[in-house]
Amino acid sequence: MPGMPPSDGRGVDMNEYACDSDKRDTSWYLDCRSRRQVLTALAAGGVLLFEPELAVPSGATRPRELPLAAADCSVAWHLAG
Amino acid sequence: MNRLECQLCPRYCVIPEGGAGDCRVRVHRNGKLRAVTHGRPSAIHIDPMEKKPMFHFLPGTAIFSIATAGCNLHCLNCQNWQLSQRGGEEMEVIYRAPPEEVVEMAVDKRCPSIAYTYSEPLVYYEYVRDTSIIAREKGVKNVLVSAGYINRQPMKELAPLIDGANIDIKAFDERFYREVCGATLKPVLEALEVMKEAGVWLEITNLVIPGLNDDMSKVRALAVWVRDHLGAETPLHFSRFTPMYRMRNLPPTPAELLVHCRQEARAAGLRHVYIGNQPGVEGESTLCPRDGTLLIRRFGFTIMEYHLVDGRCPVCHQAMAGVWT
Repeated sequence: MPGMPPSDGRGVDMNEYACDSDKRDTSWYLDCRSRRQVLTALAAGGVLLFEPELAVPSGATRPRELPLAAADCSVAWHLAG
Repeated sequence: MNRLECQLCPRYCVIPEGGAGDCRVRVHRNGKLRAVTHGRPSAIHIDPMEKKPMFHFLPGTAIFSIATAGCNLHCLNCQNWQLSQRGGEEMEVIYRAPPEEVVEMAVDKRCPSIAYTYSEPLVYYEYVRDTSIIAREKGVKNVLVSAGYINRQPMKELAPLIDGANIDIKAFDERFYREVCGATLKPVLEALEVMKEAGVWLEITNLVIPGLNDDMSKVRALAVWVRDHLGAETPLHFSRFTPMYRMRNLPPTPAELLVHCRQEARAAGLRHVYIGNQPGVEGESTLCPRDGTLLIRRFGFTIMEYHLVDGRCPVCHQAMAGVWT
């Protein structure tokens, strides 16, 4: 996948939750992929004011990789979530 | 095998070689599904427990909180969209934080618990699982802050490792789930039942968005479901919506609407109903449901008074539901 960090062995084998795709109805998945239509419909209902473009700005460069010790562990106070 | 189906969550994403699931972080690489944010969080903070919000779980303690990129919901009002609606490769920063180092740091920072939070921990399922196992060994508790959108079997396997969870029920309304979150409600309720059965301490959050999920009949239905399936002692938090992400056109939730929701849920029989993100209004404090004694007075995330004695009301000695030590 373009831009994906290279595999270094940290990726976890998830075959225990994988199977051949033909074994299960995937209609819901396809429905999700129609999400843009849902969003557009929602916009027509007055919920959204602007064009519902799903794309989030993608980093032009790879993420900086830092050790855990570099994390800011000061107590964070803002909205719950 | 050209395509793999991820069976972790109800989306059942069918992922071609080189592609990612809807969550952006579970990818198909060389014939295997891989969780590419394992050991690679992009957010690390120490939060007050009350921020999660968890009001009946080690109150007043600090909780070591981590999150990777990705989410399997796409709520238009997401508060953490910069993290949740991106893949790991789109983040500015990724920390190298294998499970054992996360637990070591939590212990080093004197945090008695770790929260898997901010985005959606269930999409970095294996990271949660592996970290939780080590945390348990070190006497550190595990807390999930999640939308609970996962299949029954993986939740059954994870739940025994989890001590507490705050699960969002976005609305008691399938249409809201479908249109605002791109998901469905039923699997969330099933996941909650699995966690309850496994003995996880549960608190529920419902973010009230004016005009979208504030129908009082639905609020009551939510409270009744919580009462009947999780127990009347289960804390329910009604949180204030703040205009964000793709819902910046809506107003913040009026305080009186939150108060109304709280009254409705209490009338349905829930004993601990709170209001969140609205410091100073009624509904932030814990009272004894038997005699009304003030047990914990809060202002926002701060505990102003604490009167519980060994988890009991100091007046009538009623044991309060929760995890207090």
